[in-house]
Order: sequence, then C-alpha cells, then structure tokens
Amino acid sequence: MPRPLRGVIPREEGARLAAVRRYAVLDTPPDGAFDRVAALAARFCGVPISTISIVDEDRIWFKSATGLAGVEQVDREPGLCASAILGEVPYVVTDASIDPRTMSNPLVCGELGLRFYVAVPLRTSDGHNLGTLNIIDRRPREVSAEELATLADLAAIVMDELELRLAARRTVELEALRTAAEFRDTIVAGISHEMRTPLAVLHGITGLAFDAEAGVEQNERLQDLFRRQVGHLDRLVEQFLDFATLEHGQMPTVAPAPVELRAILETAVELHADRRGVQLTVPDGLPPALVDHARTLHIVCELIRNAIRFSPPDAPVKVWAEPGEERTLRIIVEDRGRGIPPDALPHLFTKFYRSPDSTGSGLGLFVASALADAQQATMEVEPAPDSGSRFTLVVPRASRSGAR
Amino acid sequence: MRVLLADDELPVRTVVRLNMERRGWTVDAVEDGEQALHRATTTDGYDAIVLDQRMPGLTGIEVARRLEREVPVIIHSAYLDDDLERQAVELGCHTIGKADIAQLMGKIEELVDQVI
Repeated sequence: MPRPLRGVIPREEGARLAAVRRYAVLDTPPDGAFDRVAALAARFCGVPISTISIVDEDRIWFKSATGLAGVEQVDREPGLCASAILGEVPYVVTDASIDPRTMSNPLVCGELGLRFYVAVPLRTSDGHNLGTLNIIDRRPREVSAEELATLADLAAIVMDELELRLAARRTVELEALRTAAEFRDTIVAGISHEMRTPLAVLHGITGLAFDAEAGVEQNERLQDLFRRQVGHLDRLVEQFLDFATLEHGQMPTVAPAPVELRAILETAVELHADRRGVQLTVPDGLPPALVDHARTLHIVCELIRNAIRFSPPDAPVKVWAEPGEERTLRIIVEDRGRGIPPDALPHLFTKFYRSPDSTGSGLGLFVASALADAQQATMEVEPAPDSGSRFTLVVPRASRSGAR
Repeated sequence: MRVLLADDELPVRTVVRLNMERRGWTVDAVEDGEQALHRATTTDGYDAIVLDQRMPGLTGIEVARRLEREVPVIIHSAYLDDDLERQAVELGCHTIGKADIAQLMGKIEELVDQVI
C-alpha cells in the first residue's frame, strides 16, 4: 500500500529505488571491503565517524559505519543522506548548528550532536544515487579539496565493489538458469517420449471402440490393454509429482500399513503382462510388510520396467520375495541384461542419471529410492550371478500387532 | 493390403493390427527385427513393411538396411530425431511418429499407391 513519502524526494524516485533493488545490497551482512573504505575515509579526513549508506524508500541503511557502534539504519526523513542524494556534487555542511538546511534536524540537536557532514553520492552509471559515502564529526570544521578528491575516489571504489558483486551474482544466476533449463529440457523430452507409446496405444484403441462386430473376447482384451496403459501414464504423472515434491525439499507422503507383499507383486507383474515374461515367486506364509501399498507398487513397477527394458527377449525377468534379516522382508527384481557398469553404480539413484542409450527422464530410480527412504526401506543393487543386475528392496515387517 | 509389422510391445502390435484388419488389411505382426527379416525374405506379397525403431536386437533401421526392399518401408517410432530421419532417407525409407494409427495407415496407402 503506497504511503506518502516523508522528507525530500529525488525526481524519478521510482527508478532510483529500482536501481537500489538491483544491487541487492540492502540488509546484507557486513563486508570487509566496504568497512575498509569507511575506515580509510574517517582516518584520512581525521573524523570519528564515516558511513556508507543506502537510501531506501523509508530508511537509510548502513552497509558500513565506522564510529557508530550498533547503528544499522535510521529513518529516512531526518537523515542528511536523503538530502545528499538530490544532487551530483558532494554535499558539505561545515557547521550543522547554524546551517539553515540542518539546524533543526534531530541528528544535530539530539544525542548525536552532528556538526560536520560531507557526503559524496554513490552514483550508478545510469545516473541514480543509491546513497552516500560520508564523513561526520561532532565539531564544526572545514573540508579541504584534497579530502574531497579522496572521498570522491573512495566513493568510486564503493561503486566498483557494488558493480563487481552484481556481476558475479548475475553470472551465477545465468549459470543456474542454464543448468536448470538443460535439466528441464531433458526431463520434458524424457517424459514426453515415455508417454508417447501408451498414448499411441490408447489412441489406437479409441479407433476400435464400439466395434459391434468384434467379439467379447477382443473387447475384454482391449479393455485390459487400455487399463494397463492408463496405469502406466498414471504412474508417470505420479512420478513427476513426487519429483516436484522432492525438488521442494520435502519427502513424498507415505502411509505404511500391514500389507501382503504377494498382492503388491502380483499387481505389478500383471501391469506388465503385455511385455516379455516376468516370473514371480512368492513363498507361502511370508509375513506381512509394513509399507505404503501404492508407493511400494510404484517402486516395484519401476524396477520391473527397467528390468524388462534391459533384458534380452529370451531371458525372463525374475521377481521374488523372501524373508530378510532383522525383521525385514526382501523384494528382488533380477534381469539378465548387459548389467550395470561398475562406475555407474554409485550414481544409479541420483537425479537425472540415465544409462547412455536411454531416452528416459532420469527420474525413475531417483524417485523410487526416495519413496523407499520415506518408508524406512532401502534399495540395493548388485550384479546378478551370471549377467545382468539384481535390485533388492528391503522393507520392514509388520509386527504381530500390526503396528511398528 | 498385406502389411508386415514389427514392434516389441504387444499393446502396439495388437492395436495397430486390429485397426488395420478393420480396414480389411492382412497383418503379420512380429516382435523383433530378426523375425521381421526372416518373414520379409521368406514371404512374398507384402505391400508395405512397418518397423518400430527401438527393439532389442536389430533396430528398425538395421532391419531396413538388410532388407532388399522392393516395397515401401516405414520406421514407426516415438523417438524420431534428425539423425534417424537422415539415416532413413539415405536408405530410401520413410518415417512416422507413433501417435496416430489412422495417419500411419494413410501414409501406407499413399506410398503403396505411388508404387502402383
């Protein structure tokens, strides 16, 4: 809500304030470079106080203040800097108690007892005064030409420092933007590729729908196809949403409950019934696990999907469950593909890792391992005995009472 | 119209085949490049050959390279890029994205008409 501005206001104050924001200097921590300049100014001119001030909308904030212990900012209105930024030349007050510009100013009449004030505007290349480099004394005195010249040079050094920091920040931001854009393009390309086939199948099915001449059996098959493809698309979207959650520094929500692993594994295998054979083995009497059904289904589907993708046509993917150590259960997905290169193993579950010939999004294993973590489960990978890979998901058992 | 179709994904084979059969075409659907090559060399009478690109074993382009083609060959893929297009053109093949089966069938008819 705009408030009426108090005190004297430069022309184009809006543009000036925009310039102040651009340098992102307000409320930043103390900085040795600026402190040294203020100290130099005070020492050279033989005064107790020197500040580097930035004039904000309703306050004067000090980037550096020699001789003014503990003062970080003052209101804009009484601040002499507010007047100093109205012009381009140094603002000189030799005896504030008799100078008509300043004699009723609280900084002069009050506790500070300001008498001597010289300020050089900190001026940007596009002509905006951000604030001042100034020197202050409690006794009236004159300023020499040499002192003014030195203050002008020191003010220029302050501006150089501000420009340098701005340029460095911009470079970092541009680099981050470029990296973010590359990652975004990779993910977008990967996900859209992965969605194309299910969508093409669904599209093809709509071409066949309402075919009165087709038998019941064909229609049921099409329904199954349809359902599975929608399931794949649904999982892709869920994966993307989980990824976004992780990007915001949060864990996806999980709701663990006692679950029979057989139910999860049979569903996962059925969802991939359109692909090459998957062999499932679940021993009888396996105790229930304490997991989130939907999340664990997602993890197992991701493992099966990868296993199928990297498996040769004649070697089925094997999925089984078994008891593990220390009140855990293990779900294993094994393929007979080329296997994973040893130097890739540490990176497998990282964001954006893709095998070299993959056009996927690189999110699948990353999200899956996060979903495992969220459920107090762990994911392991190792080479399979002959060739290929073995992924193991270790989950907690449900206690006899059904809760942990 | 008799078409040879190769795609490693059963849903794609099913849906493409059913659409084509609805139009009265005959479709031989196989699941990998080796089988496609075998059928193409042992069976006469295909009007067109449709090959998925990404299959385990021989890719679509690799099959096309080995075919002694007298009939139009179409690479049917969700992963078309400049490189693949270039290779297809060099071999005298065509490419089409995997989005619209009606479009695929239209392209086949167009190419077969040109041959005739």
